Amino acid sequence: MKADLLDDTSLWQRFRTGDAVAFDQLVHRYFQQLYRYGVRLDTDDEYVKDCIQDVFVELWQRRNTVNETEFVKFYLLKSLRRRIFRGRAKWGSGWESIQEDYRFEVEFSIESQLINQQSTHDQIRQLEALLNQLSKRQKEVIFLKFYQNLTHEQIAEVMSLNRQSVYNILHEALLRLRNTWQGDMAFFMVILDLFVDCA
Amino acid sequence: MKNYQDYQLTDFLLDESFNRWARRESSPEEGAFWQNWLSQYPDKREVVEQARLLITGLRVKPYREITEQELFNQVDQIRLHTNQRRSIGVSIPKQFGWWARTAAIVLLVSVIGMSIWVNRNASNESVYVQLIQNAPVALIEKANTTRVPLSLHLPDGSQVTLQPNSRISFSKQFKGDKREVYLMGEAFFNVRKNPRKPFYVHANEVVTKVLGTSFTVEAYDNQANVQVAVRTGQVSVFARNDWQRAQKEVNSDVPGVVLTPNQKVVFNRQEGHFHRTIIPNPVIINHRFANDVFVYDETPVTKIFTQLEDAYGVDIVFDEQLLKHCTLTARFHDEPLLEKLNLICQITNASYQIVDAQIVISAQGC
Repeated sequence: MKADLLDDTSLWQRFRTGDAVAFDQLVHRYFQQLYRYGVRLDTDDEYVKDCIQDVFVELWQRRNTVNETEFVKFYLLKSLRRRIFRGRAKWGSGWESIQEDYRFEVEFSIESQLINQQSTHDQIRQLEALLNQLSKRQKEVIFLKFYQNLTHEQIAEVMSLNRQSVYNILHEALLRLRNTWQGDMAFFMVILDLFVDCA
Repeated sequence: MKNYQDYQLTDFLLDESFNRWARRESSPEEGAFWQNWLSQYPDKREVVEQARLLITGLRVKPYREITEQELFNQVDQIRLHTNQRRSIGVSIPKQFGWWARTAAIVLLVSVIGMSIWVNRNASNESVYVQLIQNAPVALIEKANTTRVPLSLHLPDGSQVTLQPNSRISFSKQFKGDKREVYLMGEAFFNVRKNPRKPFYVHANEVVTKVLGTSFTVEAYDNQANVQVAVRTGQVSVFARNDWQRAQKEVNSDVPGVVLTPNQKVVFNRQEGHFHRTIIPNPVIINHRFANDVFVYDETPVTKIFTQLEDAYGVDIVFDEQLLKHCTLTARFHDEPLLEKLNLICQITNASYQIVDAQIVISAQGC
């Protein structure tokens, strides 16, 4: 069996039994993803790399006690975010202030290949501008939901918030978007036909 | 059921079932539900489409990535960190190709205190304290008083992971022709390569010299022995007294030990002597063999020994004449080297001894 064809769940299972090769595969599979998330939270990329290393080394040490999971990515994102903040908390500032006073560096865009009307393009650009003006917390939630594909439950756990706060943050962010989407919407009918055809 | 007909854009975007459908990740039932719903409420098409466009069209601009090269370095370091705790033989999948891709020599020097503990008076200053007091330049010290490893960077960009209850001291700028650090306890080093400025770790009575590499040093104040173990690459290990004497001469002849992969040296602090041997579980250091299953079919044992020497970078000493008729049919994969040797010896009616980091085979012939 070729180990690189294994899905996350089986890799995780093998790793838990102490399979070093499976563990290496996990590291290799997720290091870049974790890095992409981590450097958005902290500009010091050496620090972020160290944190990712710590997450994996600790994971290996705890292999006998970690639970079964189908969401390896979620588990790792959560561990990394905590590790990054925990390290900073040690340097003096308390956990609370770190939770408030952090950054999240991201620039969103919306792919609009299907749309060829100029007016629509303008609207999309407007929407992008709005997305990029959101607060760091709103951006992070949107990043985790629409880009990393996490559920609200998982986002809440990753960001150490309760589920309702996640919902509220998202709701507030999306409400702002909605307001720009008024006006000429004829083009959507065109896209919709395409969508319904292939669905 | 939810009142989807009252849903606004925001509600759709927040709805997890709708999100799954928009991404085409729904179960057939869920998909059918949404198709059906949409045909029931055609006036919702517009808002549905807006939501769908956002869900599937949202992109995140690439921000910072690590290079492939750096990725392999990082993965390799994680391997080094976890390697000592791996109890089984490690086989390295070929597709990773670390050894091939990692330009830096990877080296593991681990200086491990043995079980004999030296009793010291509390008033007695540790070697570490004496060393930093006598250092020629001003030093800064980092200590890890937590229960988790602490990552830090040295002035030259080298990276150190300091284990709990450990301290390290170094100068603010590594001026001069040497990079010197003083360690008490255990640390993992990833040293930036710089042949013009060798890197020295002073730990108890032992000095370890490297040019640029990764390794772990463990040297606690209250332990009787110090061990230095190398995985790949090369280090020189000296007793501090000898090293200090040699500093005063050019091209001097210093008694010390040069270690190559899979070798270790045990330094007895009281007696002041070195004993060189092989680490308990040697790893394959030649990447050509990284993912190989060793399959032998009536293979001459002499050839097998040569191949193992090549794969593990260890010396195997044997009498070619005596063994020339011995062959072996076997299949090895994850077994540690010493287990492989046990099996070969059993079958060929031989035995082995480790003498001065060499494996010496005693055979009777076949």
